[in-house]
Amino acid sequence: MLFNSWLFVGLVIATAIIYYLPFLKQRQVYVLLISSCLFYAYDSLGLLLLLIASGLLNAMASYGTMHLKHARTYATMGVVVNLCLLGLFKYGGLISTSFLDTSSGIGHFLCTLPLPLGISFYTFSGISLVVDAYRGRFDDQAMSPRPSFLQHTKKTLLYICFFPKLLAGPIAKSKEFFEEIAPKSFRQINWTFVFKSLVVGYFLKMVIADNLKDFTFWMAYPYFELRGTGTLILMVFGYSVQMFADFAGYSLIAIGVAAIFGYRLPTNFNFPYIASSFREFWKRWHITLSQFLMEYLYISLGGNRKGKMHTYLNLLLTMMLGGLWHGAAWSYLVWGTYHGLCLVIERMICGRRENCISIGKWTRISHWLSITFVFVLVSFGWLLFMLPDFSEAVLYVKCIFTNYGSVIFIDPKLLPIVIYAAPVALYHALYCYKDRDRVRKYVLRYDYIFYGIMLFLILTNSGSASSFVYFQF
Amino acid sequence: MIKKSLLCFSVLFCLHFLIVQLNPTLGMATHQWQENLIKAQSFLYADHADSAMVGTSLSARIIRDSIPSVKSVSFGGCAVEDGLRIISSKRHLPQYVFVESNLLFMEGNKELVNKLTEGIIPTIKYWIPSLREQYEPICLLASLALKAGNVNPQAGAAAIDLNILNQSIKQQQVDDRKYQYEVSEERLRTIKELMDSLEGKGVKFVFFEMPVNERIYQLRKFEQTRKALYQVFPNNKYRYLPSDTTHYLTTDGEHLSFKEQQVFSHYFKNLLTHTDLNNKQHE
Repeated sequence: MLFNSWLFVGLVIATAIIYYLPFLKQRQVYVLLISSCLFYAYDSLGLLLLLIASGLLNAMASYGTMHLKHARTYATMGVVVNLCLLGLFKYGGLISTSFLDTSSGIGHFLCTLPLPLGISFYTFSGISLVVDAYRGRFDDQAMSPRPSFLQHTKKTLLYICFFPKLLAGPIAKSKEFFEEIAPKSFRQINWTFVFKSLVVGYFLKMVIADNLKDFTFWMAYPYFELRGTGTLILMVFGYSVQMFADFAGYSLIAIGVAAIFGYRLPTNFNFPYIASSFREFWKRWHITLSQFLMEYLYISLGGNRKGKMHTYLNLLLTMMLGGLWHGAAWSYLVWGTYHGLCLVIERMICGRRENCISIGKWTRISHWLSITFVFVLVSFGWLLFMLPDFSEAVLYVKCIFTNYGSVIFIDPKLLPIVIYAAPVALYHALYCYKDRDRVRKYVLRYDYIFYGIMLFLILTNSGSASSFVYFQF
Repeated sequence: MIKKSLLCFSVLFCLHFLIVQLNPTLGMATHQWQENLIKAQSFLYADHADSAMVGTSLSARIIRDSIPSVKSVSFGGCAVEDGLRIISSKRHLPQYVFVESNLLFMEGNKELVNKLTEGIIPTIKYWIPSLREQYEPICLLASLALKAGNVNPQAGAAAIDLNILNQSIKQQQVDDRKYQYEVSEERLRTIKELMDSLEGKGVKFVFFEMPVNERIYQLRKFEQTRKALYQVFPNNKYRYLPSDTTHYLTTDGEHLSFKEQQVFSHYFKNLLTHTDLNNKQHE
């Protein structure tokens, strides 16, 4: 069920009405669980059982870790089960097609397994819960009267299945989410926050991303071969904006919908295209995934505690696995390696400096050059998302260098990419200059005009509805 | 803050509504999908259309302004099936439907037909024209900009890249040998059923073939389609317009260049003027 469908809007409204019925105040978690099951079952009824099974297994593992003897065994079991689920359902096909005979036996079996929606997100939530329980982050709860297994299961199921974040995050931290589970009242809703999140979220998704996709469509093989250098570069940047608008839009809608039910999900995007280094970029892009990889992978591997070479290796390995998490194809591993290498080289050359490019005392120029440099490299990295066949991505870059003379340099029919990218640039610019008096006095003070315009464009200028790019992960 | 935003939205919406009411001819497509939607809506929401044309991206390029009596329901990236389904959903059916036969049995795009015919949105768009794709603010802006620059919105690139043309033709020849195209029974049945149903309601079909590069004219996909076409729709029962044997320049072997689109549109217009459509004899 797409967030930009009328069915979803209907589900949210119906759930909210039932959720806030006074006599159901103590049963709100059940209302959300039923809605979450409906939300998931709409697309994949059969795989709902897998989701529930995953929730129950995580409840058992985390409860055992927190409250029973042999905590380590329970925790190990929990992590292993989650990784096995992910490995089997998400990477089974890739392993099979790459290393096994797909015509018979186990190779054939792995190829026939379906890819459950949101599996990457809910298994990571499960791992976060079990590891946090093992690391003692729930100790304050363990000290208070021990909850019954049923209570714990109820909370775990909601944490894993909560429908606004189920399919594509944000990956909420278990401890923070558990603390939020309590009866909510209608009066507590912060409507301004809900309104702003939903309007910006739907605007980014429906107006920017859904429209840009019809222009960046021509980046597909073999269409791009017919395009001139300028058009090819324009489409790369357009796709970069589309990726941001699509995923940041999704996250904001998820945050807004969760807020209707009184839950605060973590911020997932913090104006990533103003990052002046790759380190900063990953602190601004898909923040909850970066934090997950940092806490549960990079630090577990040793982080930066074992010398420079180990730090570089850990960084590279973390990013490679992070890349592979995005999709079951080797191109994602290449994409992860590309970002890993960027981080390693940056760390080798610049250390922990703010700007990755530094020109003496010219800090301002250095800053803007760094932002441009990071944006360009990140944008070219997205090519591997659009063209998962590595050879096609290479051919695309080759065409940029060879198609400058043979065809029109920039196809004027693709210039609307610039118009659709402009609001995203403005969105970032306003953030950069939000503390300036003039901006505050003449722009931000009248922010309702922006929201009015965005609402108007959502209604009159939305592109054709499509699923979110990150759903495939 | 929310109230002020809603007020601002209402003002903008009313202004936009007024602009559209006062300038109904404004607006143009900015990309292919939008163009398909605008074309289909222009057909669906028109009170009456005597004739319509269904086809693929090959005939979607026929210049519409030159043959205003024929409403085009040929779509880029879609198939004849989609056009037929859209025609079926209209209350007042056209008397004649011109069917592009080159890729007659190609599979359709359900998304387009669903978007235009299912749910409440198409009805809302019928009653509130400002919500139609043609009047999206960006389409209005693009249309104004082109008007100011005196540019024809249907104009494409003037030059043809011969390298790309040859490469594309070569690729099509390779693909044709590789995939061994066959018209499936299911595809034949789907098209036949759709056309029979429309015929039952009084619609008459006229087939025509778009010119393609002579090096791909004999490709299996075209040959097989022609063979199946004459079997299912025999020329003693259905009317076929004569094929144009002129050598046309294409951008990729199949799609006419902008200049040639104009030439072919002129030819097609002449053909319609001088043909008695009620005479079923094959020409």
